[in-house]
Amino acid sequence: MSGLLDSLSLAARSLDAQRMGLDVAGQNLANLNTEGYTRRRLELAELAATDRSNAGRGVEVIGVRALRDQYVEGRLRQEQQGTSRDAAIAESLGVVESAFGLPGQSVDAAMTSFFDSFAALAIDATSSEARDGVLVQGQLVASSFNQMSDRLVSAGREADNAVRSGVDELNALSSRIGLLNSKIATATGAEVESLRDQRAVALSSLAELANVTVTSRSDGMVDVSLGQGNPLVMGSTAYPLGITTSSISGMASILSQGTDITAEITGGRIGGLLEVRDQRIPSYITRLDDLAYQMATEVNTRHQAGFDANGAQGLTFFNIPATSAGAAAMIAVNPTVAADSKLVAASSTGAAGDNQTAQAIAGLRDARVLNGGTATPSDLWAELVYRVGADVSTARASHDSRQLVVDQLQRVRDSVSGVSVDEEAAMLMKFQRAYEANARYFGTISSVMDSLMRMVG
Amino acid sequence: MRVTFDIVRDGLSSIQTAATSLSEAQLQVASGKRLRVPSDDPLGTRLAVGEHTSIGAIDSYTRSVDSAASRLAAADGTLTDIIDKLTSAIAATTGARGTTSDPASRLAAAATLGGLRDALARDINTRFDGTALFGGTRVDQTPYVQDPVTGVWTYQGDNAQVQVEVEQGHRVAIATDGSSIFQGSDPDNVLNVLEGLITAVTTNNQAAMATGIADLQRTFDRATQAQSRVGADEVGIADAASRLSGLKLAAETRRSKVEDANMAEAIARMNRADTAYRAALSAVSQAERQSLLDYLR
Repeated sequence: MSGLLDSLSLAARSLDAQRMGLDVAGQNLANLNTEGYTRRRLELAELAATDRSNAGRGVEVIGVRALRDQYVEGRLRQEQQGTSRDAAIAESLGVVESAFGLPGQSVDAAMTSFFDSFAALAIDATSSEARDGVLVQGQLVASSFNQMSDRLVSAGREADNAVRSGVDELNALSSRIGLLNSKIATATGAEVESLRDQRAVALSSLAELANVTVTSRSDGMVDVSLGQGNPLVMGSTAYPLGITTSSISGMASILSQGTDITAEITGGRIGGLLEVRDQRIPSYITRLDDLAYQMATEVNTRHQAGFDANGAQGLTFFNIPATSAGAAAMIAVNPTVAADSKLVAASSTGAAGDNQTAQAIAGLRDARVLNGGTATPSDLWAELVYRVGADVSTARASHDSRQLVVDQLQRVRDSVSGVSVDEEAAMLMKFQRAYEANARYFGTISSVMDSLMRMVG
Repeated sequence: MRVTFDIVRDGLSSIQTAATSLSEAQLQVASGKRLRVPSDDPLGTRLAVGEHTSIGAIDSYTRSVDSAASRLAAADGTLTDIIDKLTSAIAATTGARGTTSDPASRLAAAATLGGLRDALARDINTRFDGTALFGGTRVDQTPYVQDPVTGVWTYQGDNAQVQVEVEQGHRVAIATDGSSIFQGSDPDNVLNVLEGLITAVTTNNQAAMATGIADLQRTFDRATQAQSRVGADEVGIADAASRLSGLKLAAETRRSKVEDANMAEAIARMNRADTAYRAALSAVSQAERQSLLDYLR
């Protein structure tokens, strides 16, 4: 009789194990769309016989294991930093490049019209309409430089705002990872895997923000550092980054433990935004300033060598700063000249009909006098537009190719950790069949016991 | 390798890629433009900026050509009138010379010369579009002015020319130095010569008439040479206009090649992108629809 009772116990344990198998498949299917969920697998082991009088004691549940590949997850985080960086650069510069407008519809068109106005003045140097035209076009070309400079400065400020938000997001993630670390260190059983899944999602989000390095510890926690070893999370402690605003540029500097680490952030979305803010946009502004400064200087040189309609020596036509820095933002037609079109110098001799100065300024359109006599104004503008377009194009191409690697790594990760509906359906069927068979076994033993009881009765 | 299907990663991303291609192809067809932002083709954009600048310069030169052509035509016509009047003056003076002329005919000749002098002065002082043609760069001045007291004609212009550039490196004079035509290296200008001739004809001063005719003849020669130069410039700018027209066509063709979409190619690409989009939608819906669950009983 005790043997039959052991058999019933065996059947009950087996039924529990198969039901748990069904539960694990159900849990996996339930989390089919849960971000970061790692599929679970039920681990079973045979309970061996204790003596020769029985075949074995059935099955026991060893545990539920999460199928995680930490190497692939590390690689994935690494690639995500680059992908997010390229995406941020492409996105920010995409806005910048649209501000540059199409060929023949931007600063280049304003410069062409300005030089044309001097060519029209050269046709009739005594024409007051032509002089007015020069002033109007001069103001238009100056304002087109001003507006373009404003747009670039605004794009830099937008990138700066995005950097500040990114740092806030990064700090929130760091403290969440610290909290999850402390829970993982103290948790037991199935809860640990769930916490690890949540932490993996947070680490992945962190990697999308900046170039972080994740180091696993023996107690199950992870340490996270940023750049060249600046701590973000050490065990359960998060070290939030700080921000100070430069009094000169008004831009944010990122601090770790009081040290400026802005230059060390080269990856992730924040790294991309910093590159746009600190390198790309300033380089475009410098090129634009150079163009405005050199063009204005060449115009001024010729204008001052000429004579106005009153026969007086020409004044400076454009007001610009002493150096090229800020020239595009500050260029303006000299207000004295702007107030009186007779002060536009067209003559090189003082004679009313002489047009050599107007001709010389109109000729700047085709003259290779900029950049040490190697470029026309249009060449410099074309070079700037090319640079912006090439930067956006390169960032997009780099993003696309990195995205392929990320997608592939995600497939590899999912091949280990992802939930497959087909596989879980098979598992459901497998455990269902096993449950049915064990139930039958249970029924059989129960029936045998009934027979035995009837014999006794 | 276990294969898991992720609707977002595998499904939506491929739909998104196909939709982006379709949207870009549709935009090209709708706008007719291949370049919408510099990153579409950075090198092409750089070339397009250059072509737009070239086209702007060609348009500007074309306006200069048109303006210069009008002024040269005016100068040409005026010089024709001047040459006619100089011919008439020489003929009138020649008629008044010799032993057969009587006082009445000399007075008539003097009156003719007076009329020709006034007409010639008007021609020489001709203004086109408000500026003098024969006053050098002092286009705002009347080239020859007669002193009301002494009756002497004086040149008010200078010895320079007003030139405009009609194409790169090609300049034409649109206002010339009148004294180089109407005086040259002679001691007096043609108007004063005519004043002298009127007196000479009236007083039957044969020697002065002979000198005057010689002076008029030299002026005639210089005016003819000036007209030849104007004619050559007119031919030159007609050639320039033709070249500019050809250059503009070539620049527009290059610009269009860079900027504009090849419509046949764009439409074909749009159709391909449309097919790819539908295929992506279909593939994703198929992949998502099927699983082992469909076959389990």
